[in-house]
Amino acid sequence: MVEFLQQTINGLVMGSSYVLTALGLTLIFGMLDMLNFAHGELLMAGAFIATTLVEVFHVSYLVAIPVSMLVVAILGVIMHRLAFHPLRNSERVNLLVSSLGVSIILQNAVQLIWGPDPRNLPSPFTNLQISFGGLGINQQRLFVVLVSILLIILLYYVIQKSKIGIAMRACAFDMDVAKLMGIKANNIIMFTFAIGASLAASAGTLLAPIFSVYPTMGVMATVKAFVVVLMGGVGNITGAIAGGFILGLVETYAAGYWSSEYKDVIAFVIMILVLLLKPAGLFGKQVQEKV
Amino acid sequence: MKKNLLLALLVLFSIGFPLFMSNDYLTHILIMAGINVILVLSLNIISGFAGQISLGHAAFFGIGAYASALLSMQGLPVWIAGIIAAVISALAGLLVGYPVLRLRGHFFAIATLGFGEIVHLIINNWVKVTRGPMGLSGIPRPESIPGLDFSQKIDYYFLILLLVILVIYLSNRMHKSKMGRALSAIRADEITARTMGVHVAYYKVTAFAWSAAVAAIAGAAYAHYVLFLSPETFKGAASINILLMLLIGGIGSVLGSVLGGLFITVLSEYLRAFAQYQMIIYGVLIVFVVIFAPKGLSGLLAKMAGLFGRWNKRGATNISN
Amino acid sequence: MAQPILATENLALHFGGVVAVDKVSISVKPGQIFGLIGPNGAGKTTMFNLLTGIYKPTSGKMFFKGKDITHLPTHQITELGISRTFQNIRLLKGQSVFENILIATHYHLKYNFVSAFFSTPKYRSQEQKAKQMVNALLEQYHLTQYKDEIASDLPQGIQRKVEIIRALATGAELVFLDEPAAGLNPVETSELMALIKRIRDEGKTVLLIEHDMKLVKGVCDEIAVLNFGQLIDQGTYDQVTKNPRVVQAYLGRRYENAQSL
Repeated sequence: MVEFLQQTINGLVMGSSYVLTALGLTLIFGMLDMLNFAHGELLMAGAFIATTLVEVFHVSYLVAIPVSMLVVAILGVIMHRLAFHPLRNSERVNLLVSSLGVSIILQNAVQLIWGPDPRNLPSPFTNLQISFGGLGINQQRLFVVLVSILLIILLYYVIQKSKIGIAMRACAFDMDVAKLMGIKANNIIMFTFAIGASLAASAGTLLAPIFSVYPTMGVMATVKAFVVVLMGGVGNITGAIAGGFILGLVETYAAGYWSSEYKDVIAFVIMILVLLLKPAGLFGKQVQEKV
Repeated sequence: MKKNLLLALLVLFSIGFPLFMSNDYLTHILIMAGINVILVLSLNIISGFAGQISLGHAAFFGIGAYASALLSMQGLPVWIAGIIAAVISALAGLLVGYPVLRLRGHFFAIATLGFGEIVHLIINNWVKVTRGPMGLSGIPRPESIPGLDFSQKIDYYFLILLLVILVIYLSNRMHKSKMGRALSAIRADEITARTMGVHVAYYKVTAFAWSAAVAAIAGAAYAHYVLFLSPETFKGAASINILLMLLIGGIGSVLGSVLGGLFITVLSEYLRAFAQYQMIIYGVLIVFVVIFAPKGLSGLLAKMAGLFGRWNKRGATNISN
Repeated sequence: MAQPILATENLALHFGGVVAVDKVSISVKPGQIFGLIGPNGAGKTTMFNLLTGIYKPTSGKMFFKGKDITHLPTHQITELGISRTFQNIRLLKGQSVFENILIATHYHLKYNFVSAFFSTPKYRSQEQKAKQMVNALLEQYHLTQYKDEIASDLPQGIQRKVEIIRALATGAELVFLDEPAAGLNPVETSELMALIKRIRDEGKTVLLIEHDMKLVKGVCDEIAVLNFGQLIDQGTYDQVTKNPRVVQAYLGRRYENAQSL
């Protein structure tokens, strides 16, 4: 039982990072019909920036998180302006390919600056435990889950209630109609890139003290986030939140009770099953394409 | 017509070149370039002709290499093992392609990316069969055929050249037949393709199976040439590398696939000294090509040929005047 | 009475809570030009998408020459002999007029890939026949001069015509035209009317969605009127325009069209 609870906490930790990464991806996917393969690199960049702030500039971990989120938000906007915006009228496939290029650039730029070796981000919580009966919970893990839930609620509120959130949903629903309604679609897209990037960065900085930080850590993050987006249904915020936690839990249980080597295969098996059985996502309605 | 002439010249040059420049290092580079060209041509079938970006193509390269190596190590003749490996790879392509290619949009890219990772994981972890990270050695050379006994690099060179020509021919026949036209229509607009009587899912899945089979042949050739396989060769970065070659050469173009494979293989050799900058350069190249030259090298070449043609014509009229 | 070439029985399509097509039963006689009219959003294009298998109906049935085609995929419906054009012209981007029409011969070509690979006589004769057929159509409909032009770069009138010829090239007996006069000038529209009549006179049946009432009046043998997804009348032009419900549907939503009735 204790082991199961332990696994559940670990699953929630993984899940919350999946949710944070997938939210930006699903928003952009819904809006631009674009797969951003560089999304995971934003998570990686967030982790590296936070690590540098803490280790080199001796900034407190709690300050490093928002600072790296801000820097990566700017990075996300720059990425959009340079590599995606010029392709707004071309085939969708070109956006995918361009994002692949950006992903390679970011990975290798980081490798050049910081080297390929894994690093660790020290956090004040890493070595603290809270115990409930026989169950010992690492405080960093608790911190990850709490902060993630806070950020998710915040984003949910912004999207559902704020003016800009309504504009974002309008753009995701139908870009052309949104433009006709006087929404400045370009600004909304940039804002969405900024939000998505900072959320990915938050996932990177939150997980960095638990796992190590290395230049190619974004690749798997991108792939997992895609699986979550598929599970939830493209553009579906609630779906992404549920999908992220489900994937995190299922993976962790599988690693704990079955095989840790093949843990990453689980995500793909889920993906293939979802595509086969419920291509619109676990929570999505079947949508007919406009002809 | 111009393209055919250019290809014919390229072939003649390819046959003659190593006879005058017999140098093991150079021959080795050319063999590797040839294997890459086959890989790029194979990717071009699904990603170029049919417009479905595959991000896990190294998986089929790996399946071909390991299947052919393992089968031949069980005593099967290399030539038969290679063919069986291609069939296995095509079946794997069907298995992945069938659920995913029925759907429109980007799911295929994600699924192939995932498939690539799975195959790499299996090669790495199924130590009993693949020997995992230690690598697979003791792979036999191909049995000799009249004229080639595969004791020297140059023999491999001619084999690879023959395979390259065969795959170019296959690609061209495919492109010019109803299958190629169906794939072009699918690439342009799936709804229209269906309305014109094209069974979209069937053609996409068939194209993917062909693509997987051809990539496996490149894998088999690689295995029986290098005689040692390591999971490292078949990881995600290799898939991206093949896609890079296709993009630089010109996606959808057979000539472009050949040029892209040659260009990047040779460039990588030159950039060896700057290994740490190589990938950044490639990343920047990808973004630049997509934004500024979406037809790649073959597009630039066509543009140059057009300019040259006009210039030539103008010259001719000047003279006649 | 001759068997209808196309018939629907209580055909319905629901999008979430919206009823886009509501139990529509129509029947089209062979050799007719059959108009499908109604205000914007009445479900006309949705009907086309259902009848060509692009959408799957929620309930109801559809028949082509008596054969149930309700569950057939689009490409099989095309093979049976139904083809269409699109409201927002869907020519293959970057392909020439010739290539755009050649794709319509796809299912007529019965060779397999092996014969293409070895370029067998069967392959060559079939390819040649298909290309000759396309050339003949281009000649017949005066499009030869545009043969090698990129289709999507041509003026809209020509693009519409190419799309119609492409639909014919599939060998269809029943052709759906979705607002073929949209974006055409009066001269082009009258040419289009002649073209539509010519298609009928060659023995084909035409199902036509159109807002231009002059064109509808000029060519249609029979008309069905849709409003809010429901069939409100079917009959000749004079019959349906006397129906108060039809007038109401137009007056209520599109006054300018009603005036031209």
